Amino acid sequence: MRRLSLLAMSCCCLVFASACGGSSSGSTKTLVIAVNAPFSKTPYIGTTIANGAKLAIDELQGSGTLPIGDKSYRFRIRRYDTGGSPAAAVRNVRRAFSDGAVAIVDEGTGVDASWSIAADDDVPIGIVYQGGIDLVDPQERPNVFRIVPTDHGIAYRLAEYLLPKRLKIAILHDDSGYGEEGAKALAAAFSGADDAVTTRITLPSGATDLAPQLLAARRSGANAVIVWAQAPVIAKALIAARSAGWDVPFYTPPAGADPIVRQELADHPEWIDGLTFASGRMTAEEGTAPYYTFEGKYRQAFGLERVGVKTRTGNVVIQPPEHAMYAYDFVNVLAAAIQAAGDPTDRAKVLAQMEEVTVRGANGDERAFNEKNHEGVVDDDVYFARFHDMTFAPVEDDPLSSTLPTVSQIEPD
Amino acid sequence: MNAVAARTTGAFGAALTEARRAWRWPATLATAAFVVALFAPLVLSRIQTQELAAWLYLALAAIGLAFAVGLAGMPSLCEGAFMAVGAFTAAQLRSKAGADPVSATIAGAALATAAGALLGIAFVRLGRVLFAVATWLVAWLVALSLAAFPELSGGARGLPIRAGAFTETIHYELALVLVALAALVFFAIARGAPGLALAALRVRPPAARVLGVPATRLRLGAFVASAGIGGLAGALAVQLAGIADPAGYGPFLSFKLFAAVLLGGAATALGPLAGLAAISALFHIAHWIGNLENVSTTRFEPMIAAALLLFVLGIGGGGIVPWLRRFVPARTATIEASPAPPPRRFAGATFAAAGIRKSFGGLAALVDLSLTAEPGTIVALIGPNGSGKTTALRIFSGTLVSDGGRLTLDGAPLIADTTTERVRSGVARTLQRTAVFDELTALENVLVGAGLERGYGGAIRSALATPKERAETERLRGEALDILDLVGLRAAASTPAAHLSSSDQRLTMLAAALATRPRVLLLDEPAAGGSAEDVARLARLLDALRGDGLTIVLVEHNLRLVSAVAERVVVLDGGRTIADGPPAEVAREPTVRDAYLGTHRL
Amino acid sequence: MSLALQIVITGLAAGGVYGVVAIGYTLIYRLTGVVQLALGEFIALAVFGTLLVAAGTGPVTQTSVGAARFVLALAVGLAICIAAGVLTYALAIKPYLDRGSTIGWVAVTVAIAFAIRAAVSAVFERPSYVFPDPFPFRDIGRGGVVTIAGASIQVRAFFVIALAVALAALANWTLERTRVGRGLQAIAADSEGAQVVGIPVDRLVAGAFGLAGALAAVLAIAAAPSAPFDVDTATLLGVKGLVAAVIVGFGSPWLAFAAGVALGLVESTIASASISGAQLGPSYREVLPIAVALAVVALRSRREERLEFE
Repeated sequence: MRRLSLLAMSCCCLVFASACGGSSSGSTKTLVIAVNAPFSKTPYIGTTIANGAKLAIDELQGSGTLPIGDKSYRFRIRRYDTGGSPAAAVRNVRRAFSDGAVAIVDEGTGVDASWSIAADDDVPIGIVYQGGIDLVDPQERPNVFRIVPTDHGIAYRLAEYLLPKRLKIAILHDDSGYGEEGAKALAAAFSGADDAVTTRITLPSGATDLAPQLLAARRSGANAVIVWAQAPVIAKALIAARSAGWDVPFYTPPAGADPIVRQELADHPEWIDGLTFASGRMTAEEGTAPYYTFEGKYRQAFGLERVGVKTRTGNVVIQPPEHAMYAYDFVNVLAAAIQAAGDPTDRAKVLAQMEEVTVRGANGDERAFNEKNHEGVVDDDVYFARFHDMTFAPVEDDPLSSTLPTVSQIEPD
Repeated sequence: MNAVAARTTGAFGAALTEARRAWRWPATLATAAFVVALFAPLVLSRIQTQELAAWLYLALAAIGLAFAVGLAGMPSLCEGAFMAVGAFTAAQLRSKAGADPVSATIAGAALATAAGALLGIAFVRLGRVLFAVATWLVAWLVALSLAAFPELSGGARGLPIRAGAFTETIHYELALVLVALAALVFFAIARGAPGLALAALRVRPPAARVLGVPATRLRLGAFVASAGIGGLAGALAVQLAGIADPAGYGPFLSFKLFAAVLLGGAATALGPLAGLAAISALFHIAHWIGNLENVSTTRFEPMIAAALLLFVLGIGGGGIVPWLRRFVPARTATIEASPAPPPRRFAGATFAAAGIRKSFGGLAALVDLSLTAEPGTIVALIGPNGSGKTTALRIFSGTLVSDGGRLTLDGAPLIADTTTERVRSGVARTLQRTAVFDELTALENVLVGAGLERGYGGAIRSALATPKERAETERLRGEALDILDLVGLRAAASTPAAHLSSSDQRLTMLAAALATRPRVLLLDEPAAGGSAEDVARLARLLDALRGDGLTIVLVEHNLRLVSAVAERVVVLDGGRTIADGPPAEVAREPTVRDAYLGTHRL
Repeated sequence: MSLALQIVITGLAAGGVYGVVAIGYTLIYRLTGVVQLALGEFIALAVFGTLLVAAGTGPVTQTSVGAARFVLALAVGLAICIAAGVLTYALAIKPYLDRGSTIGWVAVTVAIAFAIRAAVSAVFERPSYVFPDPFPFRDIGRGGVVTIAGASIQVRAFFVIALAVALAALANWTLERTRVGRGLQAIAADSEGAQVVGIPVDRLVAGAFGLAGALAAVLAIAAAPSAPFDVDTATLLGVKGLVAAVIVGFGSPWLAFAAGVALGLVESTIASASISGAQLGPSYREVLPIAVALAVVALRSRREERLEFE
């Protein structure tokens, strides 16, 4: 009997212990940088973000440790999967703390709820994918930073690009945070041009078949569609439209470049042709060299990111490590801030230094924050690219885009 | 005033003595664990406190589910849906209407309770299979509604809830106290009269109904309780989490709670806790292994939970807590010698059936059946198989509705609609097949019938164990022992009914029927399968009952018993009455002989 | 007019699949009193098993699979589904049926449903999959879409409708005319009596468990290429089939089929007929039928006579 109660209590202890965690061993303290992203839902985004962060860390500390002040620290990247669920994202932030995280590289889901948890401990959150304008607020949320084009910027550039074409546009968005924020940004950007927008429709993220919504868009008289949604929903919307025989041009935010869209439509490559997406420019104003250097480093560390489809001539299509750049930049800013503060455990100081340091980004642009601005990417640094034969190239009919080079997306032999 | 104080202290004293007597080391362990847990936040980090609090809220919902699944035996697959109702009500009120945590929680729990009442009223009459299907569909309905109406649920973005006055520690202590309270209430109800009635209903619904157990009311109560507790847990948990995410309230949540209850032992208070702890432990281990490989194991959680449940169900044994219970010495129930038995008083009533008709499909089961039974007499209803005897009894007891005819009790028409009301009017029946409540002792079997007197409605009184309730329990126990004495099973009072011989089991059923204080007793083949000695014992018992003044209608095949005790015999054949009179006369009728031709009994 | 035609054709195609799934539920319920809550997941097993053999787990880059390979894939997928059904009955459900424990088999079927879902999701990780098309539908019209009276309709829809009716008729014919079918009917009427007469009850019931899933899976595979497919699609198929079966109270196979078709039509109408700018339609599409089914069940329970089984 007593043995049983002992057994029961030791089991409880086991459960407790596994709920604990955290690690500190020996003289070299390990600091964790958490990557909070939907690894299982949109693997490309999660993996590239994590890889970008890891690349930055590996460059800084090599295979050893990073000397900061008079001590040495080893940084570790730890992945936390949100699966697209904001509640999971919030849980992950909590778990990251108990694992000793000093910063969080976040895809953006759930920041509305998780920022305050991080703020209580002065832990910086770096958003590197979602551009919703409400997510970042230097006054209210002093610990939230972003290095990725904002929705505001993308929406205004879309309006700038599309309105002169005198199209009748149906705006579709999904009900995720990404979609809702995008819808708000689009509403603001297109607010002066109500006769250009024929209808606004919400696409349920969980729906298996979007035919009714696309039919409604078609019947509203639109001859162009903006779909601001996560990649799987964009794919479903495109399939629903094309399989009903509706061939109008589709315009999307950066999610349109996600490999998932091309994977879903691998069966119908002709349906992808003409899909145009907006994205932050990969190459800098001063030239393409820094980007290609980064690309080379990334490929050496992690290999090629295969999209999983082939061109018509049978070449394997690869994806440029675009979002990895933003995570890479954020980690570099973080490292610089920690160095400037002299002590990674003094979180308040590190947070203050985040607004002081300046770092050269992967594509050559400067990345810096200040007390009024926590956005690392200039608003209108957005270009447009169009798909053709499973690869994309900057469009010709936009001033900024026409100056940009086409980045190779074919696997070299 | 002094009298009240004296009585209260007396009650406390009695409660303490009883508690001390019933104390076992698991209770010590549980109390110690509770006290330790109360002080845990002092040593745990904020994150750990938060995770434990979240777990405790889930455990609260699991205990709530145990009310429906464990006590009432209803396969409810929608506890997650009730949590969702509570959670999203509270979330909406907090985030959109700026309500304070307390009001939001109360609103969430209230709405979930209302939903439970609505669904309960709709589905409580269904058999178990359809009930399971209905609750499964409810779980899907709620999940799909949350996904389809982003205004309600925040869509894939969720509803963020600004942290209120409740810190993690407050949530933790609140959760701990609520869980302990829920477990205690469960325990108290399970041991009390409502628990006995629910156990009877769970084990053998037809036998329970026939003893007047109000099945619908009890089941509804259990279901509404599970809904309310689930809603409360959901409302609190969502405020702890800080965000209401529709993805977390799918059918898997309901399944996880269901699995936890079954894993741990459905009919026990701590079972859900044990089951949930097992599931959570496995999830943690998987997460830990996944961390080593840098792989997320959230996707595998449904498989882990399912595999665990299949495994535990496969090896049998009823769950974790019943398995652990084997190490606890069995409680030897002390049956005190009751004081001198009061004179048994069974008042009979004149029971008359006139012109009863019943057809099933096109087949006539009963055609114009009429009989009258006076107090202090025994009327026997005999006939070959399929002649409609059991159908007649079922109509008399209210289980079946006749197609025509009248039933009167002491001249007044019997219009009671449900079996419960019929039993309350004083008409009790025993079942044809032996149907005792196997897991209960003989005494408890009889107490199921005795519970009719206090209407089973005292769930709250039972949980609180008020002095009035205790006194009543004592009195009814004494009376039940008397009845066992009457049927000759006093010595077997604390034997589980499953261990009794077949004829003793039938006597137990008879005793249970007597415990409902009937005025008319309908017996369906009480002598079936008994030895000559058993039959003789039964005859003496029926004689005694008749002497007390009870009206008895007896359906029997054993003609020796019939001729020994019955004053009048009614013979049925193919639904028609072919003879009616004293046994000697009827035995001589040629039509009766013809009807029985071919059977080996005579 | 064109909208109405579109609604009807889409509704019939979807409803045909729901109808055959409903037949599966009905068959199993009438034979054993068990509601096979994992039927949707068994269909997923068949569909994804076929996909695995036909095209692997990567993105489908070929527009068509060779007929031989597809037939092999179909056979494998169906074999997996049938085996799973038979094993489920024999090992998991029968013990509880014999014991009379409803909670037992309810728990087991739901557990199996979740286990299969998780297993399939583990192997097929992407959010949705495109099913290869064994038939040259894309050669007809514009990429498989024809315009009739102004409505754009997938040619595949007609094929699915025809196949659904054929499968329902096949199920009915099997029950009425063949020996196996009559044996099943005997078991449904009185399983003990059937055993006495010498009908191999266990074997036939196990077979029915396996085949009910396979029947529905064949149709699901035929309908799969028309839209992206994932495990959730199959699960929802199971739920909708259950809704149809429940509405008619697990009546005869033809009744269940009709209920499924009606459900498909109603869904299609609700989804498409709200195009006056109001967004309500598509949201109610899946929710309303379930609510109606629950209401029907509740009302039916009040009307029924109290029957005590002793």
